[in-house]
Amino acid sequence: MLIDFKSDGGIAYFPGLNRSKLINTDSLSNEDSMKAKELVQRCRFFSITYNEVPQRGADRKTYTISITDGDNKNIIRVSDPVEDEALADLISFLNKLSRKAR
Amino acid sequence: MDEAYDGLGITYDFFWNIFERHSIDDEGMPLQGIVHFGKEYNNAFWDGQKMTFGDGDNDLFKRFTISLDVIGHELAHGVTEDEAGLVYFNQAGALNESMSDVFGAMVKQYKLNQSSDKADWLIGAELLSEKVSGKALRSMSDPGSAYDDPILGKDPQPKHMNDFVNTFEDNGGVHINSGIPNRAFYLAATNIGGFAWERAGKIWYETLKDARLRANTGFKRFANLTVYNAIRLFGQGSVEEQAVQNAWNEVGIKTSIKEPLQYAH
Ligand SMILES: [Zn+2]
Repeated sequence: MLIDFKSDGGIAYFPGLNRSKLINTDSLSNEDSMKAKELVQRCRFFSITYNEVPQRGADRKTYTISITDGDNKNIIRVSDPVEDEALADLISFLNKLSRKAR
Repeated sequence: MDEAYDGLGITYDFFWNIFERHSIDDEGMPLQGIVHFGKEYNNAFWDGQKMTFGDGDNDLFKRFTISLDVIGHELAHGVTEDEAGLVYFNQAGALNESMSDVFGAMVKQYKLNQSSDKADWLIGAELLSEKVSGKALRSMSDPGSAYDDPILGKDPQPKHMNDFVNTFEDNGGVHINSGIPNRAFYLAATNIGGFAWERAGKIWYETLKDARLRANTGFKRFANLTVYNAIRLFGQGSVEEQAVQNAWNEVGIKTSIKEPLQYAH
């Protein structure tokens, strides 16, 4: 499973944190790989559609997530606060993986 | 929780005692803040109704309630949205961001009873972990100097129109180009002297409430309106007017008071 994760925006613009991260579950630890797949499944990633641009507010982060798994492919864009709890869990985990990778 | 509660309380007091503003909407809107948002969440934001603060990952960032100016920054987004509705994109968005830094910095200076020459003019000075090579999220006195770190990168803020950044990232660089109006405020406040909120802050606040500040206002129009309001409050040819004109001039924005006077007709 290939995950392309980008987090944009927030209270400050940090050039080093604003790059998209490509995560290949094959190169993760067994535990992280299983967790990633489980979270993707739990939020039914391949059947949700989100493409939001918030109209109000400021300093929100916007997440662009693109995942390919065999024939399944989807791309979504959501902004804080992410109401869909399962999706929020996936985003937290992807944030954590991005931190580990840097 | 107490930290956020106290921070919002001080920010409320600041707006009330200095500008006689009764909360975000000037009608006593209850201040709602959410703390410990998400997991190791590295951010604070305003969603149009309430403020939300994360705990930080404790790796690069500490908790986002640790800096009073960050709390003031978020609350001020509510004030700006209520008064001017500055669109969160490009120059209007950078002005929206700058207003939040201006009020955030003043709230901190108010709490510390600091005159503008004694203030550090940093936003989020307590927020970065010891591991980060940097002193804050932003510097209003010297935009571009807040951090230079292997992970975060280098502070991208310009301090002059010559270095204005055109980008689609960050809502068109709202947290980047805000360095320009931020520095203009710093220059105006320090050139005038005394407490920032007494005169420069008053001029900026009156400009925010000025009906001619449209939602899509750019830097130049905003600058002209600050000059117009400086004249209205302190008189033509006053020290305050001169300081404001010079401040904008120094960041590469030439002001003209003829223009805003015409807006009234
Ligand atoms: Zn902001």
